[in-house]
Parts: sequence; structure tokens; C-alpha cells
Amino acid sequence: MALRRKPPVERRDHETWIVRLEPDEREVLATIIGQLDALIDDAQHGTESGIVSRLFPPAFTHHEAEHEELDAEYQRLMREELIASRRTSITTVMTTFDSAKGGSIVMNQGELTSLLQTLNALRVTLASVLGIIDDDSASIADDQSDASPEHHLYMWSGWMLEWIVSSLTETLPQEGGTL
Amino acid sequence: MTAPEIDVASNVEHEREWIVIVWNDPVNLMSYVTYVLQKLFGYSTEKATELMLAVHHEGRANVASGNREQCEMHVFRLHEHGLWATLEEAR
Repeated sequence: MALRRKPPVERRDHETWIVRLEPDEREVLATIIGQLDALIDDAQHGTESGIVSRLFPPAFTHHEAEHEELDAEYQRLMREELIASRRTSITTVMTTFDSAKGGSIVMNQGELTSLLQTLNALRVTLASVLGIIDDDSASIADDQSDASPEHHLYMWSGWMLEWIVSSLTETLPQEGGTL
Repeated sequence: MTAPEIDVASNVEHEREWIVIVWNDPVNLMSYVTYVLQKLFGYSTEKATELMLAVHHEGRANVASGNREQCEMHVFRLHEHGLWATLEEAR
């Protein structure tokens, strides 16, 4: 009889969740997230690698020249804030990893949200590495049988994100607003 | 006593309406986009799903509107969550 693994993300009570990552998984993930942090740090110092450019998209639709000017102004004011936000999330995730006991990490909602945003940033960056630029290339990536480590991590991050989203959705109010 | 100066250009800018657009991308999961729209804008599951599907099938969806400052903040928060979002003037 096969052993059934516990879910990787589980709400423990009103305020905390358990994230299950085995020490070796956590070690690999911490290394990769550390590399992402270094790439974002490079972006902060003006030596941005192209593979993180999708983490810092334009803010204005470029229909008109005026919008390009507005976008330049926006980037001047907000880009550093976006970089700081991403790096804060990464630091939070690394701190929770340090507090892990065995294969379990207890996180509050803010920490789980940091993990969500960091994993998504990692997935967006891996997509650039893998050349996933449109729905066609995404389909090809989904079907890849001789997958690279980057591809495995890309698929794993999607799986983990689904679990986190599912768990965090429980915290949303039932009735929402309208447009 | 002098009359207060009125900054006409600033008032006009404040009154112009802008919209926030989320664009389709091949990376973000459908469930993730739905969750982010619910979280940031307080939409119901139904409304957020409808917008997510518009993004997926039509390539874009208008998810919010307001003055430029409000829309810039919405775009910033969407970018924090890794979504491809821009703002433009409502037409």
C-alpha cells in the first residue's frame, strides 16, 4: 500500500499554516532563491540581467509618446520600491526556512504570502530562462519529457503555488465588490 | 486678501480617468490570477474568475479604474504579485 503524503501546505488554525518541505528540498530552494535575490540585487545596482526583466514590467501602456515619458517617471519613483518589496519577501522566506523543524515550517499569513510572491517571482524568472514567452511555448514546456532541472523547478513551483493559493483563498471574504 | 490660486493643470490631471489592465501571460496560473484579483480588489470569486477568463481568452481585462495616482498604486501592487499590468487613459 502506498503511503499518502500530507499536503505541502495546510492551515493549522486561524492564524498559522504548516508548509511541509523536507530539509533537502528546502536546501535546494534556498539556494535558488538566493540566486534570485542576487539577480534582483544586480537590478538594483543597474546591472540587470535580462532574465529578471519580467519582474519589472512597464507600468504604462505605450500607445503614445506621453505614456513613455510617464513610464520613465514612474520607474524612477517606483522601481526601487518594487525591488525592495521583492527582497523583503525573499528575506522573510529565508528567515522562515531557518526556523524549520524537520520537514515542517510554521508560517503566519504574511510569511505565507511572502512565499507565494517569491515562488511566483522565481517561476516568472525560470520562464525567461526556459524561453516561455507565449501560450505555444508554455504548452511545449508542459509536454517536455527530457526536462532540465530548471524545467522541473518551474513545474514544481506551479504545483506549490496551487497549494498556497488554495489555502490562502480560504482567508478571503466570501462577498466581494464589483467593478 | 488675495484669491487662492487654482492649479488648473493639476485639477484636469486629477479628473482624467485611467484604467488598469491585466494582460495575458503564459506563466501565471489561472487560480493565482483569480486569487490576486480577489485579494487586491475585493472581487467575488465569480467576478475575479470572469476577469481572469477575459485575460486568458481575450488577452487583456480592465480590472480597475480611477485617477492616475490610484491606478499607479494598483499597477504597483499587481507588479508586486508578478502580474503583467499597465495603466492607460480611459477612452
